[in-house]
Parts: sequence; structure tokens; C-alpha cells
Amino acid sequence: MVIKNVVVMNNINVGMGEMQVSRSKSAILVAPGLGSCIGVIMYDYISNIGGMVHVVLPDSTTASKQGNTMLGKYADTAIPTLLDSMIKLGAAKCNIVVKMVGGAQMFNLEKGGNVLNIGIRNTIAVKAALSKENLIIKACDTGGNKGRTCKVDISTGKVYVRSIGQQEVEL
Amino acid sequence: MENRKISKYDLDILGEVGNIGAGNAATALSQILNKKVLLNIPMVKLCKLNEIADILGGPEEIRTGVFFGINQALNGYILFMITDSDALKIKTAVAGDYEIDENSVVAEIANIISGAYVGSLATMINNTIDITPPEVCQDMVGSLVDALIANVCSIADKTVIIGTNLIIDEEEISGFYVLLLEKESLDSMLDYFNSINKM
Repeated sequence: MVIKNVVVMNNINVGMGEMQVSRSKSAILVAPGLGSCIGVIMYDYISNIGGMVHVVLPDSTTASKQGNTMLGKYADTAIPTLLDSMIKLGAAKCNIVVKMVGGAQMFNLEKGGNVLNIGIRNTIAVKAALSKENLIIKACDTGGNKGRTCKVDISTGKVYVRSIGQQEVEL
Repeated sequence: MENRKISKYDLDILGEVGNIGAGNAATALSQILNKKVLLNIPMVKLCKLNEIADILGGPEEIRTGVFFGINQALNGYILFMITDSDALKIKTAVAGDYEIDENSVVAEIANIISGAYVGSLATMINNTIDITPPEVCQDMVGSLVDALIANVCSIADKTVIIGTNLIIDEEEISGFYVLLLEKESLDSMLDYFNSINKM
């Protein structure tokens, strides 16, 4: 038996507030269990460079000023940082396609509107940060009350989304 | 805002707080079910944002989560998480063959034990704590906790997780109890305990 073209796929986890950029053909970036968080995916179809950031909060003005290193945590800092890293790796801004997943509202709590609508606030903030960079969202799967796991295959740029009790679908 | 450093001694205090709280919760649970309830050694960890979902069981694991907001003297959240099969076992242990929605049974149980937990917290800090009605949801751990973590971690990148495993021995049910406090509440609680200690 001859086995040809075996590529061992490499799942790279993108945890809360983390950011990953890759050009490796075998890499799959995964943001597991997105609730109110948002996974923003950027992909350059010409150079096959892809990146993902796991945004947790809308606004970095609440951040402590002392040694905050997780730029991926806030929508307003995450988008420029991801774009910069993509360009540094060789992507061209005009070829970048953006997709976003997440921003659900898991619980319906009466207490303080903050928990209630953090998913919506995240969605609005990510969209605002993207339009500030003149990036257009090609596809998005946001809102609702289900958690999502989102994957991007760096070799093809395809994005897959899965919720519990449902099949994985391509976005 | 000044960033208070959390010492090893502080973590010990929080471990004890979690232990007493969960002890009361376990007593309440044991009385409702009339079964023996065991407690594991409490887990107190200062962890970074991106590690939390892994510590709570893995971001993609599916759990039934019951969640409460606490406010007044302390602001934060209590989260009770069990696997779906354990949720069914709790329903059977409490309601037998009656046709009741298992989510509401689990929410009610969690409500009672959270009352005991928060009650003992309030006694310890000698203040009033309010607790909101329960919210139940079945989903991936990551998506259950991220809105809560987002609120708790809005200032710093790290937070303290105070967790305890409650085990109902005969039925082999285990649930995970987590207390997440907002930074300011955590600091004020630690200051309070440290000030008592100096007296």
C-alpha cells in the first residue's frame, strides 16, 4: 500500500484573548466554545495566509494601564493588531477577506445589562473596528443563544462553524 | 486603578472561603436529597483569561450550567456545572418518575445550594449579598463561561477561580461549583480578611 500526500493537520487553539496567524498548509486554527466572544477570521486568498483572534470585550478603555499584554482581548485593539500581523507575514490588505463568528447571548439575566448584551456589544464593536480599517465582512454568523466552535483551514481559507446538536457547516 | 497583587496567603484565605461556602452548599444538598455529599479539596487558582475554559473542564465539553449573579457587598457570579447525564441523575434522585423538565430541577437544586453558599459568604464578610434567580443553559463550557469571564476580567487579564467539586457518592454524581468575583470585590474581600487578621 502506498500512502501519498499524507498531511498531518495541526490544530492550533485560539483561546480567549489570544491571536494566531499562520501560513502553514497543515494548520487549522480553532476557536473552541465561542459564546459572547467573537472569533474574527482574516484570510488572504492570494498568499494563503490566515489569522484568527478571539475577542472577549468590546472596548479597551476599561483595561488597566499597567502591563496589559493581551491585545486580542478587546475589539478595538484586536482588529488592528491582527491586520498588522497578517501584513507582517506577507498578506496584502486588499486581498484580505474577513469573517466573524460568535456574539451569542447565552443567558437572559435581568441583572445589569452588561452580561445580558455583551455578545451584541462585541458584535457592534468588532464591526466598527473593521470598518475603521476599511475591511469588509464577507460572511458572519453572530447572535442567537447557542455556543459555536469555529475553525479555519489555512490551506484553503475555508471556515467551518459547529454548534451543539448540529452538523459542522461551512461559512 | 491600582493593581493589587494577590499573594499565596490571599489564595489560602480564598480557598478557605470557598471551602466554607461549598461546605454549607453540600450540607444543604445532602439534606434535600437525603444522601451523603462529599467535597473535594477546593481549587483556588489565579489564572489567565485563556486558561480558564480548560481549567473548568475544556472549552468544547458539553455541560448543563446554572448561573447566578451576586451583587451588593460582592459583585460576581456563581456557576454550577454538571454533565447532562448527571443532570438526569439529579432529576431522578429528586423527582423520581415524575415528568418534570430536568433543567428546572437542576436549577432549583442549584438555587438552594447557592443560597447556602452565598449565605455563608455574607456571614463571613458580615455584610449583605444579593443573589439573582437561576439561569440554566446547556452548551459548551467555553460559551457558558465567556460572558461571565468577560465581565470579571474587564480590567485585568487574570482572575481568581474558586472551585469545588460536589460529589453525591451513591449516585456517582459530581458537579462543579465555581465562584468568580469582580476584581474590586475580590480586593475588598481580601482587605477585609487581612484587616481582621491584624486585629
